[in-house]
Amino acid sequence: MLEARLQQANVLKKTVDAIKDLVQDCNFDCNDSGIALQAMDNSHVALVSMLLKAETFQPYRCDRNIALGVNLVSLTKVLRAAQPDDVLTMKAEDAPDSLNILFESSENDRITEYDLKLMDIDQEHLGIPDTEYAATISMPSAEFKRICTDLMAMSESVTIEATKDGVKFSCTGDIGNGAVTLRNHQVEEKPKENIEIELTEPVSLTFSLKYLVNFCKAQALSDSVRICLSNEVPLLVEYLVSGQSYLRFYLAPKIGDEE
Amino acid sequence: MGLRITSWNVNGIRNPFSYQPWREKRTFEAMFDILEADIVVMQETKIQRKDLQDDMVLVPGWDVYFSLPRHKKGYAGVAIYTRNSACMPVRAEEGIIGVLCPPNSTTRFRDLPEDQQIGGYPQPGQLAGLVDDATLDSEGRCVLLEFPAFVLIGTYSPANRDESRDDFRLGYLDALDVRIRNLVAMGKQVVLTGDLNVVRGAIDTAGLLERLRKEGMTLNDFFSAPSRRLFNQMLFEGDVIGPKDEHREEPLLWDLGRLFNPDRQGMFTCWDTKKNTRPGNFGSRIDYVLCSNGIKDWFVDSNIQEGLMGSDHCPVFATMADTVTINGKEVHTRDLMNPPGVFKDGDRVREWTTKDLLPMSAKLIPEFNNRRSIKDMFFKKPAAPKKPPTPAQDPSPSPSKEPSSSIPSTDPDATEPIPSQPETHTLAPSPVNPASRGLKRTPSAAASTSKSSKKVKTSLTKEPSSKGQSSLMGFFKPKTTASSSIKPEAEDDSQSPGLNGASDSLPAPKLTPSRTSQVAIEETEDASLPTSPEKVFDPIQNKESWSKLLGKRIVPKCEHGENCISLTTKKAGVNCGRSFFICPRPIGPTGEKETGTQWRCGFFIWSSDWNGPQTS
Repeated sequence: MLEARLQQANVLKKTVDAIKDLVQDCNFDCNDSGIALQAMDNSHVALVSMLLKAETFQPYRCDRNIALGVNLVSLTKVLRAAQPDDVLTMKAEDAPDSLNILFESSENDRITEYDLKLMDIDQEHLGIPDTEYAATISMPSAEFKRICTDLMAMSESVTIEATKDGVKFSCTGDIGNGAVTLRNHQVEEKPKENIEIELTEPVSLTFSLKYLVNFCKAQALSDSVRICLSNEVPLLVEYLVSGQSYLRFYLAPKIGDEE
Repeated sequence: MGLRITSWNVNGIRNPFSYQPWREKRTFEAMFDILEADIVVMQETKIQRKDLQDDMVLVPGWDVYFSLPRHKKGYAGVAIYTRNSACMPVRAEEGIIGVLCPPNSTTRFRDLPEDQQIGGYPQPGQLAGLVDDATLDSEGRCVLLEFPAFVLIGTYSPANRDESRDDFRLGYLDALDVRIRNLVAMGKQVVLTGDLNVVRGAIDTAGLLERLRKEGMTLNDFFSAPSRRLFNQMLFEGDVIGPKDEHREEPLLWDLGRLFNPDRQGMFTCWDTKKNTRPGNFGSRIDYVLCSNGIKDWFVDSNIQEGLMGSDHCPVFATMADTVTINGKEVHTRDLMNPPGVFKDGDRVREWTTKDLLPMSAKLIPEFNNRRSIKDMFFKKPAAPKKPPTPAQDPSPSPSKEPSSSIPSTDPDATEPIPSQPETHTLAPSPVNPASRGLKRTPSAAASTSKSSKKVKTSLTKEPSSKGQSSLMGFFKPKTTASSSIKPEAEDDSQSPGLNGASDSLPAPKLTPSRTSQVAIEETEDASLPTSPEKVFDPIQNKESWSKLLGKRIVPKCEHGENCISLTTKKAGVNCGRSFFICPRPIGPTGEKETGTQWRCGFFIWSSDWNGPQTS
């Protein structure tokens, strides 16, 4: 049986909000170390990987491995009923037909309880290898979102180019072209605005902006975002939820023009 | 097996998916397989470029070329799908005049070097010049594909709507005629297919004689209409009244559908959906597959597929033979439908690659171009960890469980993922608690598509709500029959207290004698006057008047004894906007209302004249 209590319903709300436009149905795989999710979007270009570690919950109990097949649109409907500061508890049996979700208000004694019907979802699981990335960029998540939405107005795709001088997001569209360049930037008083670029070798890859903009919906989860690039490897966009818990997005780069 | 060209005005590219058999899989690949087509020409895709989706562009094994309107959104639009295994065009263009530019280029098709263009563009002076060139090509009405064998023109010719569009329509047909004449003069063969929106002969439209009689026209008048005259001049065996026009002396194209079905009556491809004339087959043949004289003998069959639903038109097709004779030599069709060197004697020599994509291919639109699957970049996990290791699996495996299907879930050697996993997956919950299986929602076979899973959801949520939700009427319907004494004349009076009941309730008693109807007074005296003055308003009467407002109107019955349907006059005139009742059945093959048959009867009543029994 599964019992997971989350002090802030907001964590799950924001996480589900961030992925529901990429993935419709997916399994929440629960085991004793936490709740994990891995799913590809319909066109198999992007992959979402979420891990909410057991420590994120207080308490957390999962005796057996359970796969909770959830329609995220339905889950969103349920979560919409929760206030951000509600205490959220998820409960499920060992071979569940439904997931029990409980919200307890921190201010009054209001208790809200939902049973969400589950589905059998047949999902492919991909092995994600540990990768040494050629470039790792940490920056404010709001900044990344701004870059993506700004460039989206120009073009369908963006080229991210990391060199020793910095990282350049550039795009070319029908109406012209544009680029944003960022450099290492550290100010001790405002650590939230730091931009760190770690580079082992220069790299340049092109990605669909539609997906990146979609990833940026996770901005609400974390002040900063980590972007990792390597040739011949999907881009990794990572948001840390709390502690070791994370929400990661992978995106296959566009095939370069050979001609 | 030949090569089949199918043309279908789909009236919205996703429209057919609401109908059988297309709704089963809801993929274009499956649709084209059912159509058994190798080239599918769709008209009226009614889609904007920004709304193009993966499933309509990245159809496995197919390439697609769109021509979408430049300005009007969700209007017209032509798409040609080609099966990669069967044919591959060497050039692709959009627009009949050639004034548009290829993607990512500012050179018009007609200005391209000769070896890169299809050619035959109307030259100055050839067109009547009713409409300017850019406008004619701007509405997404024409895709041209050139194969070594012939030039395929897929088109959606403008409909005969109103006079304001007559110039455009004629201008477009004129351009079609000129372009095809030029192409044939260049020595190219042409296949013209699509919704031409022109009736060829009297046999191609239902109830023509009656219609003409009503309008006081003769057959000659009808076929002398410029569009029909122009069309018949293009056709071999076309009926042209009087001498042919200048430059149009020679016929150009064979009407393949009619060639293979010379005398068939009722061979219609388009019906009026509003009037529901398809069941009675009161329609017209306006979708054609036409070919130039040189390749007429290549075709072995052509027909319409009136049984296939999905649009107000049905698909039409023509099939080419496997091998054709050119100059006494037998040549494989495949050799001629692919660039040189791809097929030799009907066998594939070279595989299709992405380099074969023509600039016009929709797969090269930025959103779809250079797509890489993330699946190719991560290796698959050896064993799927999602399956709960249910302990209950060991005892009593259910009878339906095959030993082979349980292996993948436990076998660590099964490094290759099994593509058809649904079998193994459903096993997990079932042995534990077979009874509970029914409770779970199952996404339909194509679990990866959002559409199908939504289906599951809606069907589940809607049902209980409609069952559990009681109608408001239940609260307002009077339980006694006393109210039946109220005559329709009382309606007006009784409505006002009903409507303002709450606000009127106090001062009303004094006014009662003068304002409410006689019937109301009688009843209220009986029931409630002595007890309390506030109850002057009889609850029964109150309910009755509410039910008049909220109740469903009883519709009149037609001559078949069936409930009539209500329609609204759209025609301009004194009656515009008035609603009326007519027989619900589809109109018969005669196109007229009929008496004593299974088709629509002559019943008619204005809604305002209908004072039938109200709900009681």
